[in-house]
Amino acid sequence: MARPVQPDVADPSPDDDRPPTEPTELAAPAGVAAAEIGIASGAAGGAAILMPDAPRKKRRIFYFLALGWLAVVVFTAVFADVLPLADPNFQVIRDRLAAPGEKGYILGTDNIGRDLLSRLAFGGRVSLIIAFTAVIIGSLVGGAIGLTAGFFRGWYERIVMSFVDVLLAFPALVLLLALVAFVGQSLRTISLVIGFLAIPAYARVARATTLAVSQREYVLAARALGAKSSRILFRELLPNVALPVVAFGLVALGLVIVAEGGLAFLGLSVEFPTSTWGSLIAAGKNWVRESPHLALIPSVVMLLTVLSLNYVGDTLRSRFDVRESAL
Amino acid sequence: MVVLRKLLTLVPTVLLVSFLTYLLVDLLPGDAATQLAGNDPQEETIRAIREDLGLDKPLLIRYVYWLGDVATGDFGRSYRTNQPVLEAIGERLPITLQLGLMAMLFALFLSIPLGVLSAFKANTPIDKTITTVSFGLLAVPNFVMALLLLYVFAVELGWFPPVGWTRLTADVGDNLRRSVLPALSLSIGQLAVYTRLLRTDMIATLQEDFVAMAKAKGLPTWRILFTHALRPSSFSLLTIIGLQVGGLIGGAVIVEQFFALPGIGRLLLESIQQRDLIIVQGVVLFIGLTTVLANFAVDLVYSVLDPRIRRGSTRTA
Amino acid sequence: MATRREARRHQRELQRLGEPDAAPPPAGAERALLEIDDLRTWFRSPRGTVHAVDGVSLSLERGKTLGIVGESGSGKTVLSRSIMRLLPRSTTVHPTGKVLFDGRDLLTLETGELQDIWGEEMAMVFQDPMTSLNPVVKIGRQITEGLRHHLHMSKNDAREAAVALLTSVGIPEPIRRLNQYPHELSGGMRQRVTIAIALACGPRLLIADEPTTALDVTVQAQILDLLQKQQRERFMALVLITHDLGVVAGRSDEIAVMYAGKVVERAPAYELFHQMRMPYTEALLKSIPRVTNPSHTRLQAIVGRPPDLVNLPKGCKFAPRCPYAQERCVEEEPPLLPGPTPGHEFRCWFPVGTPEGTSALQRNLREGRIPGMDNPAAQPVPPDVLEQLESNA
Repeated sequence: MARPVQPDVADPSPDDDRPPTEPTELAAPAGVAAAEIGIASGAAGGAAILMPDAPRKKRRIFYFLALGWLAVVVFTAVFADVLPLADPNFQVIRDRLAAPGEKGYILGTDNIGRDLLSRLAFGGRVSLIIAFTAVIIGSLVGGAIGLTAGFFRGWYERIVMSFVDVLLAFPALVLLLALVAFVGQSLRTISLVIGFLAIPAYARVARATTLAVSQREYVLAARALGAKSSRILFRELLPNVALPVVAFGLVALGLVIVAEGGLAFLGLSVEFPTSTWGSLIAAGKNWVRESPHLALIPSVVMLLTVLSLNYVGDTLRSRFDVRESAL
Repeated sequence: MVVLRKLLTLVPTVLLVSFLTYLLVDLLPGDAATQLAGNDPQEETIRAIREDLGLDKPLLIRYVYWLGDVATGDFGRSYRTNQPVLEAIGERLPITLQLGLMAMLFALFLSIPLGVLSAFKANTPIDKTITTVSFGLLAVPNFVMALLLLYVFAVELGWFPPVGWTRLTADVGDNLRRSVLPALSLSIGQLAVYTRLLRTDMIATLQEDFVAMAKAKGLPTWRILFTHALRPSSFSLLTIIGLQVGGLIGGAVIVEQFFALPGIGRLLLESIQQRDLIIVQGVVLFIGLTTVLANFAVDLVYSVLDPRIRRGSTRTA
Repeated sequence: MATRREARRHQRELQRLGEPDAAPPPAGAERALLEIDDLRTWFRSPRGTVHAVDGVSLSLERGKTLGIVGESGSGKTVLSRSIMRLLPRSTTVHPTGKVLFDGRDLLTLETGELQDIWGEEMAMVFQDPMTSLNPVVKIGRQITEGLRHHLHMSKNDAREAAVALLTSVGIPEPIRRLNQYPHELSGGMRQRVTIAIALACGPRLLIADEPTTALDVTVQAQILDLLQKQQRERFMALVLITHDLGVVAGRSDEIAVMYAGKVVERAPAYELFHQMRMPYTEALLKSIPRVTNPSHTRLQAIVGRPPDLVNLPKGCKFAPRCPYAQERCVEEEPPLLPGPTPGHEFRCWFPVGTPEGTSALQRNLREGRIPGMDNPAAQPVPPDVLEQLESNA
């Protein structure tokens, strides 16, 4: 009979089939390559097989392209007054429906002869104001709710999170429509309402991160040393929760831009004559046969912006390692 | 047993949803009484109507009254047409339902093979193409998608009628032709979400020992992928499908408006434009309950898919 | 489906006949069932190439047992997966060399051809029965699917066969088990199920990769006995992979000791225990706890860690941890040298039990150059260890 021997050959942890490897490399954004090789890595490579270098470089290029595009968008929105742009509401009827590049209009004109480029720049300004206001409200309020819920736990967490869950389960656009219909369509109310609706998602992100961070050694150590709750909350947790929340904010900016676009599309966003990207697309829809550029160009601009926000947000988020599944 | 226990957890959620919906209308200036009193309201009439409707009672009492009505199927009547709210919803529901189901089916039929393929071929050009395209699609708002589809397939190619609706019962062929573009524009976003999610989960599953074991049995590749790997990989997909019901309804509002389809979304939008608050309240409540129930149903399907849950034990990652 | 498979098998038969060296071998020199020749499996990683399996040559006759022993990270699991061709499909993996199974080189086969061999001719038992059974598929289906696919059994026949298999691996109430899910069984029971699955189609070769490591110590011996019994009854060849020399002792015909992706000593089981040449084998043997020792005896663990498979030392890979190591060991890697008896090979410049080895050890002791505080190698292997290992048989 074989004796029931404890496998204690040489390594203190015999089941850990890994040669020594630098921990930093293991923690790097492994992506798929490491996952794919998983079967073997348990035995062979210490899971050190990461993405090859070339795609990482390509990722970098996309990252900077996305950042560049966002910079251009923000710049034109902020300095639209100073830039050599035509008045967005000035009509030159005889130049109506000019194609891009025609008659000196870089992006053409709309059905009453307004310069599309300057309408895009000024419309972007409104879209961005709404997006930033909403995201700031959402991240501050939602972040605070999530942070405290994750820190204090107990009945407080249970009540707060059940509200959050219900609000999240509700179709956001439906709530948005209902709220906007009743509180009016000024720039301020729309920003506030969208910001209010962003709170639950932020609360989720902040709570999940707080829960994860609370388990880390330095927080446990601070607790063990008898640090005050407020100290742990502000000195230990807040800085660590803030980063993922900011990264989520970029994705949230994209979501808000789309939500506002939807609202504008239904004619319920900021009132005439202020235009946003969404209302430009909605207006262009009626001229899709004659001048498809009227709807397509704002669509592309919005799409590129949302795509860039998603991309940059995604890249940042993978660095802060908030698992989506943990939300 | 498990079902019963889960049903109990549903109660507070439903109450919360209905309360929020009630607040939505109740807290707004200008209540039903002012609406019903007509264009030239007299203080007296308004007060009379208020008393009649119980609007002078405290908020919680009013809510309980209202909840009692709703529970018996009385959602109230439209301020404008005097049509019962439930009837108005019932008229419009089939269209939205058809759109939503078609969109979900489109998305699942495409995303399951794409996600599986992408995971199986992880890090090859095929996978990279699928991942990149789906990442791009995530950024496309559904009204832009609708616009693109309309422009390409209805305006340029003329394959589908651009707008309008025919009831399924009236003409099946025409109904289908008219529902393809709206359903597609609704499904693209879902498609991207499902594909990416399934790919991630599937890649994790493919590293499991039991997949290597299935391979060592000499089973054909498709069998390993679809019988052994797909089911354990589909849990987050299922959760997301539940959560996406809300997104689908929200998207339906836009798509129905875009393609001029008389569904629930259009009803909501019209009643908002006409300030028909009681219909708005009814529709929002209906949508809220639908999403809650959809998530509940997903919870139940979970236990069918994962035998470990059925026994009440906790699921391990 | 069936006809295509028949055709393929027929073609394979023809190929086998057509190969010049596949002619019936002369009596007494029958070709081995499994022949591994210079197998190398390397992985590319950002830190460099991982030499997980680095030039392994082994062979295994029909119906015999080969024990492969090595520490964690010695490459034994990658070796088993390379033999099975079960490594993930990826550009970073490069198995080269030859793995001849019944004369056919598995490394050159297409997936479709391998699928005819897997399960039917060679099968595998995995380390952890908690993860190697599909949690959401009933046990009955997991056993029968191989039977139905390879042997084209009807549903009922396959069920009957599954019940017989479960009975033969010692599972009580086999009929009820068919409708159960893996989580309803204990670890030992699950491992019995995976053995039943592996045995289902009557393979000629079974690879068991640490089949008892994840199990309770009380169940380990039962599972090993079961494997041995099945192997004898079915005249099946068995590759038994473990980190525990005690597991293969008495159960293997031949033992190969692996270190840093290489076979460092290979010999018939008796030879290995009685005339070991490799200091690493000696160290492994000494690290086994013994019942006969007085309590609180310190285990003689091997000092240090296995080498990093990316940055391997130039000379002998074991040199940094070896009590016998000399200058030469650091500079020059020893080749496989013939041992005292035929079929015995080892990689060492100063082998255990030879005058060179003894003087090397003494020199190190004198100069205090032995790695680790207590000098385990200074003491000879106690005779009771050998007795105990033999009594396992």
